[in-house]
Amino acid sequence: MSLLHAAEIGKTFGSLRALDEMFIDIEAGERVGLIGPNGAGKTTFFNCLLGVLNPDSGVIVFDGKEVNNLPVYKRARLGFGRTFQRIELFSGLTVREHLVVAERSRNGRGSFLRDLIWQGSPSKAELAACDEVVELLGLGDIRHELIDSLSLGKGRLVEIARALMVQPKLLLLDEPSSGLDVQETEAFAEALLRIQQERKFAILLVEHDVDLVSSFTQRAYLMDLGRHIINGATSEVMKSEELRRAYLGDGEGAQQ
Amino acid sequence: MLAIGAVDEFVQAVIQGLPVGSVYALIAIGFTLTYKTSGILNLAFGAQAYVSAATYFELHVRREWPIWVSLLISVGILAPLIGVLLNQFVFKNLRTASPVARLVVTAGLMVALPEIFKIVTDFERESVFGAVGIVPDGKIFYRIFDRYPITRDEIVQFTVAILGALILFALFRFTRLGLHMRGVVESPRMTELRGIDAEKVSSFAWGLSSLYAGLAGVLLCSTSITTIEPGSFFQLVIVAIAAAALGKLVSLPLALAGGFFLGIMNTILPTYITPTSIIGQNLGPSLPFVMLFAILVFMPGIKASKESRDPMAAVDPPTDTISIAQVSPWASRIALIPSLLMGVGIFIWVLTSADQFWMLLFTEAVIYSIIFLAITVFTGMGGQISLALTSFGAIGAFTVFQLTKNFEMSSLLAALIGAALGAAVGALLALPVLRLGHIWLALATLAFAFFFDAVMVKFPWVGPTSMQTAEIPRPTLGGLDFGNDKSFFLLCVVLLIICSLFVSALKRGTTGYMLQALRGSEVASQSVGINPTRWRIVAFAASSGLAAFGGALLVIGQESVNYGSNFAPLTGLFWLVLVITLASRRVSGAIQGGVVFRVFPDLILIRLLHLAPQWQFALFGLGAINFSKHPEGLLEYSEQKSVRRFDRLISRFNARKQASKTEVPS
Repeated sequence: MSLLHAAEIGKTFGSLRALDEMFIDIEAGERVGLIGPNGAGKTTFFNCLLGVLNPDSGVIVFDGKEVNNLPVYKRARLGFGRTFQRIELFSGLTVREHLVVAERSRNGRGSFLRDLIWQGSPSKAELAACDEVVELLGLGDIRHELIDSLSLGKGRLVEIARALMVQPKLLLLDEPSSGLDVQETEAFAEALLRIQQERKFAILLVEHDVDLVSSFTQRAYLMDLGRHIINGATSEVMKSEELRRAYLGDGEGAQQ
Repeated sequence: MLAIGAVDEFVQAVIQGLPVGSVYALIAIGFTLTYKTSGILNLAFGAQAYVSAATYFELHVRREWPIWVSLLISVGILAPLIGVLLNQFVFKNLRTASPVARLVVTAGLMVALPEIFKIVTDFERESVFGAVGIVPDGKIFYRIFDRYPITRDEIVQFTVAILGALILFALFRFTRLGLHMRGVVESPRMTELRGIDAEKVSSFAWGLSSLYAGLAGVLLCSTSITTIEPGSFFQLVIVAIAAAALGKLVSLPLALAGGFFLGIMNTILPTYITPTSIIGQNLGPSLPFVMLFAILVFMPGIKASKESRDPMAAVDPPTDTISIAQVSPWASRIALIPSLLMGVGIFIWVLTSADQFWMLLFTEAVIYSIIFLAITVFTGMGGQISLALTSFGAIGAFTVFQLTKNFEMSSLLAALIGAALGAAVGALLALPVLRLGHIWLALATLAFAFFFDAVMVKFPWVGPTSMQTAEIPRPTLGGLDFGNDKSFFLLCVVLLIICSLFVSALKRGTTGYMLQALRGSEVASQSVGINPTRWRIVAFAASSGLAAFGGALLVIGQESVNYGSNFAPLTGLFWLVLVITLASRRVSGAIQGGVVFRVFPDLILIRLLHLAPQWQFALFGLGAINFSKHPEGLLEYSEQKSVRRFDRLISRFNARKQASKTEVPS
């Protein structure tokens, strides 16, 4: 049984068939890429997996449990972690406080009543857990900086750190390279790979940057126009005629 | 026969409702127009209507100027002028402000405008009854089909309002200016790229919308509004919002239809509901609130309707964010010392040498601080706005009243039960309302507050039925009797300290973290497993509980309920504007708010400067304008500035020490 199994996912917006019988399977600890040109339906599919959108049809099973009707936050508690294409951070909190929020949410130890008896501040153990992840991502120097003052590249790392705090079984990355230059992207991928190998979670990378997908993932799914085109080992998919056609079209003009 | 009678009644009601409905429609499209062109829900719309109506009344009725001169000045000149000026000096700068900031600013204007008008013109010196319409002999009536009576005023009202609406539609459809306006609606910045002066277009829209506000104000004075005071005009805003909400705030035709619908329902409903029941007696006037609430809660997709935002707003520079500047903890501690010393000084002075007047004043200041902590929790921490604070204060007060009267319970215990009840009602109200978010949430709470005020208060199991029976005893606790003013003051101070500790505990605890996260990004919060509904309900319930507790203490202190002077819905708006203007994010802000609210007017305005009490509303209303620039509040802003100065001093000192250290070895 795979970690994530989604099949026959369909989604229609008005008269636009955004997803049509789309599927994906991800094994535990695997790095999978989802590629396709702009407008292929990657983000829609991604949102359906996470529960941001409700698919019209299809089934999503995560870790042996059907999650179709669960809201986003409950899926997160089951082990979905994610980052955002346009970074989404908690303005007004420091880097470490971002992790404290996530840690609290994971361990479920905070409540209104505990706050009232002055038991709400983060404990030593919680802070230690946060610091561990802070160090892991090399954010140690800026752990007390307010998030609003950080660069985009650092912001993406904080997003990863925050997602790691909930100990995901599957980390979904939504176009992590957007807004980063080549060096920043490389550094980001390097850090992520290191952590993934240490913590053994699975990754689904949604990208249109083909380079990042080919260097980072083991398997890849290619989709276009809301449909699955091919899938297989990333190197195979990258060489395929289908990829060329999806990105460049199959008109004569594309052939030299 | 019966059937004919029923039809007759219905037609009669429709005909009676049409004139008022047409004015409501005018208001609704005027309101929608400015929302569309500037993204601002103009709560001051009713205040603008008031200013024109009062001017017309002053000129035509009191000074007996001819109708057309009075009309030209009050509606033709003054109304659009106010709109253009407001746009120029206030609204123009709000485009990139947060939805909450925009709402607070217009709420401030809503409070300030009528008071400024009264101060400038000395308007309320005489009776404000006896308004007339814009034609002579308006009360003469005609019969339609020889059957249904209608007055000349009503005919004029209907015709003028319809004309106004038609002109607007024609403008939009057939003129260049209308086209430009539609462009500005989509994106002012984009329109400017096409070489069109968006400012001018937006200014025109404000002028036009304000003209409609003024016209509606004057027209309504001939029929449904009889006293020219700001309160009766505020209802207009609710009508406008309710009608406009039908069109999700973007559709002019739907807003128009909504206005007509409200006006007609206003006259139809009372004919079908038992007029003697409490609901029957009060539903008519409160219909707009009920409608607004129902539309917000039940209309599908209203949450999804995007808040009007310029897609190119990002090209504007972000607002000054001094509040996020980080300073050393030492500097912020040192900066606290002066206010702490002042607090202790005041406390000692009140205990030792204040007379009864000042003692009671400061006691109330302490109690209001507890109420204002509700704002610290919901707005300061949660980043959202509740305009129903007074309703929750009243829930606390009524609980104390009922329990002490019927069960002879200790009023302190009753106040605690009142707080719990307030929190419970808050949680219940939160369920349908909180999913709306931001501006819709604020409007729904506003509707609730007015509904509570118009209907709920009248039930005998809620409020006191007459003034005589509204007495409330002071509490006793063990052997202590708090009937004495000094001991009651001490009790309130202790309770304030406890409440402040509660709120700081929430702020530093999970609740604070979760609310801050939700405020920063709801999607990201959910992605780490936070259930947004749970924490928002917690915040709303805690805030409502605090307001209820404060409300209970307030009436215990006054030994009487005094619903009208303590808990009128507009008062709640003023509280909110005041605290937000000063500092809503910190516990000390609520305390400073309490002192400013209760002591400042008597001490500074009346005793020292000999000004009319209206000045406090005018000043704080205007203070709200600052909110868009300094969302952390004026007090916090100035304090942050001095903290930063300290911070710089400390770092310079450290640098010098470092420098001297490195010099020694060489």
